[in-house]
Amino acid sequence: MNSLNQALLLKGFIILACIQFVSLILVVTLNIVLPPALLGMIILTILLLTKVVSMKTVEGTCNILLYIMGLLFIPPAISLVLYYDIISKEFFPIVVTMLLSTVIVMLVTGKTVQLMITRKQKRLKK
Amino acid sequence: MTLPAEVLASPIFGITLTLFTFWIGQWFQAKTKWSSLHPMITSTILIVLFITVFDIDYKIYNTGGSMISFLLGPATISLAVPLVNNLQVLKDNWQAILVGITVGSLSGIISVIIIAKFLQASLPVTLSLIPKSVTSPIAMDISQSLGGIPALTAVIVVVTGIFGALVGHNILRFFGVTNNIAIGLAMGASSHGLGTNRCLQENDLQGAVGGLSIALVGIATAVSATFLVGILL
Repeated sequence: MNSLNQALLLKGFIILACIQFVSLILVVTLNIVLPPALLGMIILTILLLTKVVSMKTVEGTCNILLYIMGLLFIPPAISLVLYYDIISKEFFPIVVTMLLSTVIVMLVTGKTVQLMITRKQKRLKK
Repeated sequence: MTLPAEVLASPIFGITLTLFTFWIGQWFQAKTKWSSLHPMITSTILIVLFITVFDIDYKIYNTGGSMISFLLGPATISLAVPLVNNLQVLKDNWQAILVGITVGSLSGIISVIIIAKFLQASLPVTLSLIPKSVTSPIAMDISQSLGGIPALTAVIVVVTGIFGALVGHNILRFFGVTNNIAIGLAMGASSHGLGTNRCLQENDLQGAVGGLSIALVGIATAVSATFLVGILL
Protein backbone atom coordinates (compact mmCIF):
# COMPACT_ATOMS: atom_id res chain seq x y z
CA MET A 1 0.00 0.00 0.00
CA ASN A 2 1.49 3.38 -0.92
CA SER A 3 1.38 6.49 1.24
CA LEU A 4 -1.33 8.14 -0.84
CA ASN A 5 -3.69 5.28 -0.09
CA GLN A 6 -3.03 5.48 3.62
CA ALA A 7 -3.72 9.21 3.64
CA LEU A 8 -6.99 8.55 1.78
CA LEU A 9 -8.01 5.80 4.22
CA LEU A 10 -7.56 8.17 7.13
CA LYS A 11 -9.44 10.94 5.32
CA GLY A 12 -12.25 8.51 4.57
CA PHE A 13 -12.54 7.54 8.21
CA ILE A 14 -12.53 11.18 9.31
CA ILE A 15 -15.41 11.87 6.93
CA LEU A 16 -17.39 8.86 8.21
CA ALA A 17 -16.84 9.94 11.83
CA CYS A 18 -17.97 13.50 11.05
CA ILE A 19 -21.07 12.22 9.25
CA GLN A 20 -22.03 10.02 12.20
CA PHE A 21 -21.47 12.90 14.61
CA VAL A 22 -23.66 15.26 12.59
CA SER A 23 -26.31 12.51 12.22
CA LEU A 24 -26.39 12.01 15.97
CA ILE A 25 -26.85 15.75 16.52
CA LEU A 26 -29.68 15.84 13.97
CA VAL A 27 -31.39 12.75 15.41
CA VAL A 28 -31.30 14.11 18.95
CA THR A 29 -32.25 17.73 18.22
CA LEU A 30 -34.92 17.06 15.59
CA ASN A 31 -36.34 13.88 17.21
CA ILE A 32 -35.82 11.84 14.04
CA VAL A 33 -36.98 8.22 14.38
CA LEU A 34 -33.97 6.80 12.49
CA PRO A 35 -30.82 5.48 14.18
CA PRO A 36 -27.89 7.89 13.53
CA ALA A 37 -26.03 5.35 11.36
CA LEU A 38 -28.94 4.97 8.92
CA LEU A 39 -29.40 8.73 8.68
CA GLY A 40 -25.63 8.82 8.09
CA MET A 41 -26.01 6.39 5.21
CA ILE A 42 -28.57 8.71 3.64
CA ILE A 43 -26.33 11.75 4.22
CA LEU A 44 -23.29 10.06 2.65
CA THR A 45 -25.43 9.00 -0.32
CA ILE A 46 -26.47 12.63 -0.86
CA LEU A 47 -22.89 13.90 -0.43
CA LEU A 48 -21.64 11.39 -3.00
CA LEU A 49 -24.42 12.15 -5.50
CA THR A 50 -23.88 15.89 -5.25
CA LYS A 51 -20.10 15.27 -5.54
CA VAL A 52 -19.43 17.18 -2.31
CA VAL A 53 -17.50 14.07 -1.28
CA SER A 54 -15.78 12.16 -4.06
CA MET A 55 -16.16 8.40 -4.31
CA LYS A 56 -12.37 8.04 -4.43
CA THR A 57 -11.99 9.60 -0.98
CA VAL A 58 -14.31 7.28 0.95
CA GLU A 59 -14.36 4.08 -1.14
CA GLY A 60 -11.25 2.49 0.39
CA THR A 61 -12.29 3.04 4.01
CA CYS A 62 -15.89 2.01 3.34
CA ASN A 63 -14.87 -1.22 1.64
CA ILE A 64 -12.64 -2.21 4.56
CA LEU A 65 -15.48 -1.55 7.03
CA LEU A 66 -17.96 -3.50 4.92
CA TYR A 67 -15.46 -6.37 4.71
CA ILE A 68 -15.14 -6.68 8.51
CA MET A 69 -18.84 -6.05 9.25
CA GLY A 70 -19.45 -9.65 10.39
CA LEU A 71 -16.84 -9.30 13.11
CA LEU A 72 -18.53 -6.15 14.43
CA PHE A 73 -21.74 -8.06 15.22
CA ILE A 74 -20.03 -10.47 17.65
CA PRO A 75 -20.07 -8.35 20.86
CA PRO A 76 -23.86 -7.71 20.76
CA ALA A 77 -24.41 -11.45 20.21
CA ILE A 78 -22.49 -12.24 23.39
CA SER A 79 -25.17 -10.45 25.44
CA LEU A 80 -27.11 -13.72 25.15
CA VAL A 81 -25.33 -14.79 28.36
CA LEU A 82 -27.51 -12.25 30.18
CA TYR A 83 -30.65 -14.06 29.04
CA TYR A 84 -29.71 -17.69 29.67
CA ASP A 85 -32.85 -18.40 31.72
CA ILE A 86 -35.38 -16.84 29.32
CA ILE A 87 -33.69 -18.36 26.27
CA SER A 88 -33.41 -21.85 27.79
CA LYS A 89 -37.02 -21.73 29.01
CA GLU A 90 -38.42 -20.75 25.58
CA PHE A 91 -35.63 -22.10 23.43
CA PHE A 92 -37.90 -24.03 21.06
CA PRO A 93 -40.43 -21.27 20.23
CA ILE A 94 -37.67 -18.65 19.90
CA VAL A 95 -35.52 -20.69 17.52
CA VAL A 96 -38.36 -22.10 15.41
CA THR A 97 -40.11 -18.72 15.04
CA MET A 98 -36.85 -17.04 14.14
CA LEU A 99 -35.78 -19.58 11.51
CA LEU A 100 -39.21 -20.09 9.92
CA SER A 101 -40.03 -16.40 9.75
CA THR A 102 -36.61 -15.55 8.28
CA VAL A 103 -37.12 -18.07 5.47
CA ILE A 104 -40.68 -16.82 4.88
CA VAL A 105 -39.56 -13.18 4.59
CA MET A 106 -36.72 -14.19 2.29
CA LEU A 107 -38.88 -16.21 -0.09
CA VAL A 108 -41.92 -13.92 -0.14
CA THR A 109 -39.75 -10.86 -0.82
CA GLY A 110 -37.45 -12.54 -3.34
CA LYS A 111 -40.28 -14.16 -5.29
CA THR A 112 -42.42 -10.99 -5.40
CA VAL A 113 -39.59 -8.77 -6.61
CA GLN A 114 -38.39 -11.28 -9.19
CA LEU A 115 -41.93 -11.70 -10.54
CA MET A 116 -42.36 -7.93 -10.93
CA ILE A 117 -38.99 -7.46 -12.63
CA THR A 118 -39.40 -10.31 -15.13
CA ARG A 119 -42.91 -9.07 -15.98
CA LYS A 120 -41.55 -5.59 -16.61
CA GLN A 121 -38.75 -6.98 -18.78
CA LYS A 122 -41.27 -8.95 -20.85
CA ARG A 123 -43.39 -5.81 -21.30
CA LEU A 124 -40.37 -3.85 -22.45
CA LYS A 125 -39.48 -6.52 -25.03
CA LYS A 126 -42.91 -6.40 -26.62
CA MET B 1 -8.44 -19.25 38.49
CA THR B 2 -9.12 -15.71 37.45
CA LEU B 3 -7.39 -12.94 35.59
CA PRO B 4 -6.04 -9.93 37.58
CA ALA B 5 -8.57 -7.12 37.98
CA GLU B 6 -6.35 -4.63 36.13
CA VAL B 7 -6.43 -6.88 33.06
CA LEU B 8 -10.21 -7.31 33.17
CA ALA B 9 -10.77 -3.57 33.60
CA SER B 10 -8.92 -2.77 30.38
CA PRO B 11 -10.81 -2.78 27.07
CA ILE B 12 -7.95 -4.75 25.56
CA PHE B 13 -9.36 -7.87 27.26
CA GLY B 14 -12.65 -7.84 25.30
CA ILE B 15 -10.97 -6.66 22.11
CA THR B 16 -8.32 -9.37 22.14
CA LEU B 17 -10.81 -12.09 23.10
CA THR B 18 -13.04 -11.10 20.16
CA LEU B 19 -10.27 -10.70 17.58
CA PHE B 20 -8.34 -13.77 18.68
CA THR B 21 -11.37 -16.08 18.68
CA PHE B 22 -12.41 -14.65 15.29
CA TRP B 23 -8.94 -15.50 14.02
CA ILE B 24 -9.26 -19.04 15.40
CA GLY B 25 -12.61 -19.20 13.61
CA GLN B 26 -11.03 -18.19 10.30
CA TRP B 27 -8.24 -20.70 10.78
CA PHE B 28 -10.75 -23.43 11.69
CA GLN B 29 -12.92 -22.63 8.67
CA ALA B 30 -9.91 -22.83 6.33
CA LYS B 31 -8.65 -26.02 7.99
CA THR B 32 -11.96 -27.91 7.91
CA LYS B 33 -12.87 -26.43 4.49
CA TRP B 34 -16.40 -26.26 5.91
CA SER B 35 -17.41 -22.98 4.31
CA SER B 36 -20.72 -22.58 6.15
CA LEU B 37 -18.88 -22.48 9.48
CA HIS B 38 -18.56 -18.68 9.56
CA PRO B 39 -15.82 -17.45 11.96
CA MET B 40 -18.57 -15.45 13.70
CA ILE B 41 -20.15 -18.67 14.97
CA THR B 42 -16.88 -20.15 16.24
CA SER B 43 -15.94 -16.84 17.83
CA THR B 44 -19.32 -16.39 19.55
CA ILE B 45 -19.25 -19.92 20.97
CA LEU B 46 -15.66 -19.58 22.20
CA ILE B 47 -16.28 -16.19 23.86
CA VAL B 48 -19.45 -17.42 25.58
CA LEU B 49 -17.58 -20.51 26.81
CA PHE B 50 -14.62 -18.43 27.99
CA ILE B 51 -16.60 -15.87 29.98
CA THR B 52 -18.88 -18.56 31.43
CA VAL B 53 -16.03 -20.85 32.50
CA PHE B 54 -14.02 -18.01 34.04
CA ASP B 55 -17.17 -16.40 35.43
CA ILE B 56 -16.54 -13.03 33.80
CA ASP B 57 -19.32 -10.45 33.73
CA TYR B 58 -20.74 -9.50 30.30
CA LYS B 59 -20.14 -5.87 31.25
CA ILE B 60 -16.43 -6.57 31.68
CA TYR B 61 -16.23 -8.29 28.29
CA ASN B 62 -18.22 -5.49 26.68
CA THR B 63 -15.79 -2.78 27.89
CA GLY B 64 -13.68 -3.90 24.95
CA GLY B 65 -16.49 -5.50 22.93
CA SER B 66 -18.32 -2.20 22.64
CA MET B 67 -15.24 -0.66 21.03
CA ILE B 68 -15.48 -3.24 18.26
CA SER B 69 -19.24 -2.98 17.81
CA PHE B 70 -18.91 0.82 17.81
CA LEU B 71 -17.56 0.50 14.26
CA LEU B 72 -21.00 -0.79 13.17
CA GLY B 73 -21.97 2.89 12.86
CA PRO B 74 -19.32 3.84 10.27
CA ALA B 75 -19.82 0.43 8.59
CA THR B 76 -23.55 1.07 8.16
CA ILE B 77 -22.84 4.54 6.73
CA SER B 78 -20.44 2.82 4.29
CA LEU B 79 -23.38 1.01 2.69
CA ALA B 80 -23.91 4.28 0.81
CA VAL B 81 -20.99 3.33 -1.47
CA PRO B 82 -22.54 0.30 -3.21
CA LEU B 83 -25.85 2.20 -3.18
CA VAL B 84 -24.45 5.16 -5.14
CA ASN B 85 -22.47 2.88 -7.49
CA ASN B 86 -25.68 1.14 -8.56
CA LEU B 87 -28.14 4.00 -8.42
CA GLN B 88 -29.29 3.76 -12.03
CA VAL B 89 -30.40 0.10 -11.76
CA LEU B 90 -32.24 0.92 -8.56
CA LYS B 91 -34.01 3.88 -10.18
CA ASP B 92 -35.06 1.71 -13.13
CA ASN B 93 -36.70 -0.81 -10.79
CA TRP B 94 -38.15 1.42 -8.12
CA GLN B 95 -41.69 -0.04 -8.27
CA ALA B 96 -40.50 -3.62 -7.70
CA ILE B 97 -38.21 -2.44 -4.90
CA LEU B 98 -40.99 -0.51 -3.16
CA VAL B 99 -43.40 -3.45 -3.31
CA GLY B 100 -40.63 -5.79 -2.11
CA ILE B 101 -39.92 -3.56 0.90
CA THR B 102 -43.61 -3.47 1.88
CA VAL B 103 -44.09 -7.21 1.44
CA GLY B 104 -40.83 -7.92 3.26
CA SER B 105 -41.60 -5.94 6.39
CA LEU B 106 -45.26 -7.04 6.61
CA SER B 107 -44.47 -10.75 6.14
CA GLY B 108 -41.80 -10.44 8.83
CA ILE B 109 -44.14 -9.03 11.45
CA ILE B 110 -47.13 -11.21 10.62
CA SER B 111 -45.22 -14.50 10.38
CA VAL B 112 -43.57 -13.93 13.77
CA ILE B 113 -46.89 -13.17 15.47
CA ILE B 114 -48.62 -16.23 13.98
CA ILE B 115 -45.80 -18.74 14.54
CA ALA B 116 -44.95 -17.50 18.04
CA LYS B 117 -48.63 -17.63 19.02
CA PHE B 118 -48.91 -21.16 17.65
CA LEU B 119 -45.83 -22.28 19.62
CA GLN B 120 -47.14 -20.52 22.74
CA ALA B 121 -44.20 -18.19 23.27
CA SER B 122 -44.69 -15.74 26.13
CA LEU B 123 -45.75 -12.18 25.26
CA PRO B 124 -42.41 -10.43 26.00
CA VAL B 125 -40.57 -13.05 23.92
CA THR B 126 -43.02 -12.68 21.02
CA LEU B 127 -42.67 -8.90 21.09
CA SER B 128 -38.88 -9.23 21.21
CA LEU B 129 -38.99 -11.51 18.16
CA ILE B 130 -41.05 -9.17 15.96
CA PRO B 131 -38.23 -6.88 14.74
CA LYS B 132 -35.78 -9.80 14.29
CA SER B 133 -35.06 -9.07 10.61
CA VAL B 134 -34.42 -5.35 11.16
CA THR B 135 -30.99 -3.80 11.71
CA SER B 136 -30.01 -3.85 15.44
CA PRO B 137 -30.45 -0.20 16.46
CA ILE B 138 -33.93 0.10 14.86
CA ALA B 139 -34.86 -3.39 16.10
CA MET B 140 -34.03 -2.49 19.70
CA ASP B 141 -36.09 0.70 19.43
CA ILE B 142 -39.07 -1.23 18.05
CA SER B 143 -38.74 -3.91 20.74
CA GLN B 144 -38.67 -1.23 23.42
CA SER B 145 -41.75 0.57 22.13
CA LEU B 146 -43.72 -2.69 21.75
CA GLY B 147 -42.87 -3.79 25.29
CA GLY B 148 -40.32 -6.48 24.42
CA ILE B 149 -36.82 -6.95 25.85
CA PRO B 150 -34.42 -4.85 23.69
CA ALA B 151 -31.24 -6.77 24.64
CA LEU B 152 -32.92 -10.11 23.86
CA THR B 153 -33.96 -8.60 20.53
CA ALA B 154 -30.32 -7.67 19.87
CA VAL B 155 -29.26 -11.30 20.33
CA ILE B 156 -32.12 -12.59 18.16
CA VAL B 157 -31.29 -10.05 15.44
CA VAL B 158 -27.67 -11.17 15.26
CA VAL B 159 -28.54 -14.88 15.21
CA THR B 160 -31.16 -14.22 12.50
CA GLY B 161 -28.49 -12.37 10.51
CA ILE B 162 -25.97 -15.20 10.83
CA PHE B 163 -28.60 -17.76 9.80
CA GLY B 164 -29.74 -15.69 6.82
CA ALA B 165 -26.19 -15.01 5.66
CA LEU B 166 -25.32 -18.69 5.89
CA VAL B 167 -28.27 -20.29 4.12
CA GLY B 168 -30.02 -17.41 2.31
CA HIS B 169 -28.39 -17.73 -1.09
CA ASN B 170 -28.87 -21.51 -1.17
CA ILE B 171 -32.54 -21.28 -0.18
CA LEU B 172 -33.25 -18.55 -2.74
CA ARG B 173 -31.45 -20.47 -5.49
CA PHE B 174 -33.34 -23.65 -4.56
CA PHE B 175 -36.66 -21.82 -5.01
CA GLY B 176 -35.58 -20.28 -8.31
CA VAL B 177 -34.85 -16.71 -7.23
CA THR B 178 -31.92 -15.69 -9.45
CA ASN B 179 -32.41 -11.98 -10.13
CA ASN B 180 -29.77 -9.90 -8.33
CA ILE B 181 -32.20 -7.19 -7.23
CA ALA B 182 -34.62 -9.80 -5.86
CA ILE B 183 -31.83 -11.60 -3.99
CA GLY B 184 -30.38 -8.39 -2.51
CA LEU B 185 -33.79 -7.19 -1.38
CA ALA B 186 -34.71 -10.56 0.13
CA MET B 187 -31.41 -10.81 2.00
CA GLY B 188 -31.56 -7.24 3.33
CA ALA B 189 -35.21 -7.62 4.35
CA SER B 190 -34.73 -10.97 6.11
CA SER B 191 -31.26 -10.69 7.59
CA HIS B 192 -30.22 -6.99 7.57
CA GLY B 193 -26.50 -6.07 7.60
CA LEU B 194 -25.19 -9.61 7.82
CA GLY B 195 -27.28 -10.77 4.86
CA THR B 196 -26.20 -7.70 2.88
CA ASN B 197 -22.60 -8.28 3.84
CA ARG B 198 -22.88 -11.79 2.38
CA CYS B 199 -24.46 -10.27 -0.78
CA LEU B 200 -21.39 -8.07 -1.30
CA GLN B 201 -19.38 -11.28 -1.74
CA GLU B 202 -21.64 -12.17 -4.67
CA ASN B 203 -21.73 -8.81 -6.46
CA ASP B 204 -22.00 -5.08 -5.90
CA LEU B 205 -25.58 -4.77 -7.14
CA GLN B 206 -26.90 -7.29 -4.60
CA GLY B 207 -25.07 -5.39 -1.88
CA ALA B 208 -26.50 -2.07 -3.04
CA VAL B 209 -30.09 -3.33 -3.00
CA GLY B 210 -29.40 -4.99 0.35
CA GLY B 211 -28.28 -1.69 1.87
CA LEU B 212 -31.36 0.09 0.57
CA SER B 213 -33.51 -2.76 1.83
CA ILE B 214 -32.09 -2.54 5.38
CA ALA B 215 -32.93 1.15 5.64
CA LEU B 216 -36.40 0.99 4.11
CA VAL B 217 -37.54 -2.27 5.76
CA GLY B 218 -36.33 -0.86 9.08
CA ILE B 219 -38.47 2.24 8.64
CA ALA B 220 -41.49 0.31 7.32
CA THR B 221 -41.34 -2.15 10.21
CA ALA B 222 -41.05 0.62 12.78
CA VAL B 223 -44.11 2.33 11.30
CA SER B 224 -46.34 -0.76 10.96
CA ALA B 225 -45.33 -2.96 13.93
CA THR B 226 -47.37 -1.20 16.62
CA PHE B 227 -50.43 -1.18 14.40
CA LEU B 228 -50.20 -4.87 13.42
CA VAL B 229 -49.49 -6.00 16.98
CA GLY B 230 -52.63 -4.17 18.05
CA ILE B 231 -54.71 -6.10 15.53
CA LEU B 232 -53.13 -9.55 15.68
CA LEU B 233 -52.14 -9.99 19.32
